[in-house]
Amino acid sequence: MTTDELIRRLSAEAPAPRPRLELRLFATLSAGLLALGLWVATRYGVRADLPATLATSAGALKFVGGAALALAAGRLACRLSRPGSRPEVCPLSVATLVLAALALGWTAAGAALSASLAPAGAASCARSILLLSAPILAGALLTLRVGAPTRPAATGALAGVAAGAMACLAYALWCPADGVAFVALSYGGAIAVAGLAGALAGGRVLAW
Amino acid sequence: MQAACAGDRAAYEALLADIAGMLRAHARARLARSGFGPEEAEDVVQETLIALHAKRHTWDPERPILPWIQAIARHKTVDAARRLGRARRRADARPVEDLADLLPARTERPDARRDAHALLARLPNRERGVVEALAIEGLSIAATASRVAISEGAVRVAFHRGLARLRRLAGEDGPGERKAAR
Repeated sequence: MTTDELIRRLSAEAPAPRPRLELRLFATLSAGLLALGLWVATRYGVRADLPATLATSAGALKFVGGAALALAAGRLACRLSRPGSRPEVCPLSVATLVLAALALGWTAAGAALSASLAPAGAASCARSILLLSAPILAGALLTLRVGAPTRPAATGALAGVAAGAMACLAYALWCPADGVAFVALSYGGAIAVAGLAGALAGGRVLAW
Repeated sequence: MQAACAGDRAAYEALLADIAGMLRAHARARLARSGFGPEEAEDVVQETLIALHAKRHTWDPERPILPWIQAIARHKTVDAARRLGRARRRADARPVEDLADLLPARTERPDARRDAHALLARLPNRERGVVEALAIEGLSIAATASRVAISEGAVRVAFHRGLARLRRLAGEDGPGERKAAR
């Protein structure tokens, strides 16, 4: 087939307007979060003092940090799925994450570290979060296939981080741990592993 | 493109034809450097057109269209150059008894690439920028010229000087690195 023929064929196809990628990813992630939240609430239960934990630094790290991370990573993944657009990070998310990191450093420097660090508990917590993040990651990757990521592995990693952060939000409904160092270790570790899984999967799933 | 997205087929056809011309020049220049001819370049043009068509919804109408086209074209061209290179290496592969010759050459490659980068780092700024843009990233001469903000003639001169300097540097560093700089 000559190129001119190809051009005629392509232009004869009806224009196919689709919903915006960002909207789709947002819908996928929100639906996933809702489903995971319900799952955690019915399977594990919701901790009774949930509103009160929000005021603690561990609770803030879980919910605000998780939401900021999920938003920033999801947004960046969308950016990378539109060829030719520069990746930009939402300044608000970055500010939140920096604040979370500072708070973490401040608290970890105190005595909280040794008291709250239980390696076995952290591992099981991270494992639960990873399991929860798997379906969201799959959904996010399938959604991003609609886009055109020129860097599939990086885009997949961001999808993994977003999925991991979403899973943290859901898991935090139940998770009784209140140590900042514990939360940073188990939640952060789970998100990092989810990001790695996303990078590996993205290299294959997102190629086009 | 806006008209095309709204369903104006004639506008879309004209746009694709324009883009095809642009892609053709770029793909030929890029693939010629790897030693491939116009037929392979035309395949890349078609692949890129199909990709642009299939992914046309990823263009945000509020953004300029050229960077979007270029990013997709670069992605597709690099993909194709890699694939063609692999296919050529497979075709070049000799029977099993000659594999002993082939294996050391394979293991040498990562080093060779690093050496090439080390040599590149020793070039003066302008020459390095031009050689990297043309030979590594596969930009056209015009694109390189606008990036480093010099004329196209000056790009050619800097490119040849850079290559000559690389050859000299590789010669100084011993015969093992001559291959890398080629």
